[in-house]
Amino acid sequence: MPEIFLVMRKPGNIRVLCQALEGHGYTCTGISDKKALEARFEQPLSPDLALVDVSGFGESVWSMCELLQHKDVPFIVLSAKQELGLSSQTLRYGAASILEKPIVKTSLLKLIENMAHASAR
Amino acid sequence: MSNTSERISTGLVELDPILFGGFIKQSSYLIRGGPGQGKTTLGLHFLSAANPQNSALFIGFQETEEQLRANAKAVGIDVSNIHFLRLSPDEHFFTDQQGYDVFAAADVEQEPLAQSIIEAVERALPTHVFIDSMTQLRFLSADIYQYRKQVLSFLRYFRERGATVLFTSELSTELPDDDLQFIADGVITLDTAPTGSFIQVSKFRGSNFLRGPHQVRLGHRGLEVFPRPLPPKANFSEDERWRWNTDIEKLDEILGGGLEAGTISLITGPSGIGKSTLASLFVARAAAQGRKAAVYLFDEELSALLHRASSLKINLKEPLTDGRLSIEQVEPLRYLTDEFARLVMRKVEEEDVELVVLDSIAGFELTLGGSHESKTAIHALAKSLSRRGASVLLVNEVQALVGQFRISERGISYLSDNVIFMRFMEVEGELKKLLGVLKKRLSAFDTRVYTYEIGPTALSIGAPVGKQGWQNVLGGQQAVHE
Repeated sequence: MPEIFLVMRKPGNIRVLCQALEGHGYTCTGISDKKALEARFEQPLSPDLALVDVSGFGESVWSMCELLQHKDVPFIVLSAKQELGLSSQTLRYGAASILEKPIVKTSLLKLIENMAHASAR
Repeated sequence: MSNTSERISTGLVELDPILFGGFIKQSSYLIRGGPGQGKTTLGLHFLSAANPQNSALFIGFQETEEQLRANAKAVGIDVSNIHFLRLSPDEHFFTDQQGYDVFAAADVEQEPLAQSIIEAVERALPTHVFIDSMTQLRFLSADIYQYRKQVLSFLRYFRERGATVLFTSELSTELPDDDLQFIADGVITLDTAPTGSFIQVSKFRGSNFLRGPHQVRLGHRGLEVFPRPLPPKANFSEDERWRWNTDIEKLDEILGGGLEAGTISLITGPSGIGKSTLASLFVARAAAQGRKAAVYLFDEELSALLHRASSLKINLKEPLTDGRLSIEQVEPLRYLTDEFARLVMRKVEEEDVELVVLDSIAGFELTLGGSHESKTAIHALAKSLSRRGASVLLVNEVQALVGQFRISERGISYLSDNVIFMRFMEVEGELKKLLGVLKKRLSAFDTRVYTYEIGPTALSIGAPVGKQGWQNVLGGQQAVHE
């Protein structure tokens, strides 16, 4: 079962994303800061994908993106409209895509499915 | 399509006649109004009216079930047969920071919401449904078009399961509810005017209804509705009518034998001229003849009226004691205008009261509401009483003591079948009192103007002013002694 890291500050976002993804066969792990991300990477299996909501992290978001890139984990960045300019910098750290919130659920599921297939190949 | 002859009660006995018998079964009704107007209370009344064989479902997006039960209990509404489906967030939504912004609310909440409602409906099989409020669904719809489709489909779902639905909207300029008004089979608005809160039906598919605002009171008995009395179509008629008189022979002669039963009479004049005393004479005589009268005092204290009547040997105390007469001193702000009208109508219908005195019209206006509303209310009430065969005495005070003659400054003389005027006249530095009949629709009367005196017993009529050598007494000029 593919595992997805949900790197985000808002518990409410983790909850609704978990509900949406688990219903389609994914396993989700909520991660709310850099320390937790580092701790998770100490475990043997890496996730298949990460969703990173940049809101609320401040400068630490760049180092988390770097870590995901370093661990070869593909990730999608979620951003509020007013943060899109800043969020575009995550592309330098290997972000596969940037999606503006609120995201259309079906579009997100399709994107994840495509990325999962691509990484499987 | 529902059968328009099948009605179900609104839960408010006074609202049912406004809708000509209640809501039409399997229809949907929009209840509009700002905060605190009584929309939820109306919904609870409606649900509580479901009989024990039926089931009622409250779908709430705001208050908790505990709050709703407590509020209902506080105003005496029995909610024991009501199923509550709470769709409002609990405290964990706040404490656990369960707010989200990754998806639109429609994407996240619409499906579980629909599922919760379907489960509740399958469980309760309700015949009565109240949704508080439909505005919440707007936030779960992607756009106006989706919202409209959602609401239509939602209401059809209930209709096809045999339910009658009431749903509320939260009125605001930012979120108008015009679309809901088009969708609903009926629209009922609760609002507030300077004269108090009111309920108004503006749409009711498949049935007639009583138009216009009807006053309501939201209080310790829940929502109370006071439909404005409408005069019955058939006029009271008798070839030879009973006449109310005063037992003062000369005065009754001037009146052509008295005031015909079922008529509206205006006694008009300035302050202190004896209008209430004249009304008391009619009332005392009615009681002496075994007929019931009711007097409503808006200005004068009851004790003052009784004291004056007693000193003038007008017997009010005895009929007051044995029930032939009732006198109520109407306190300011106690009644709404339509509530007062209902009280008087009940008095006439249930206690066979035949003569009603409203003393005075100015007091009625001050005590019960604004002048325009009061004029309409007096018109409706007096006509309703008159067409049911009761007689009405309206005591009207004109402001001018002397000067240009006016029947009334309130524009209500058109309403009266009979007008008795009383006024002062100055003669050589002395105030004289004059009385005359200006109008009688049903019989002839003495057209001359008379002087009169009050006391030491009741009222005594003098000679016609013409015979005393005075003329132009109504012209506003000083009387001229020829």
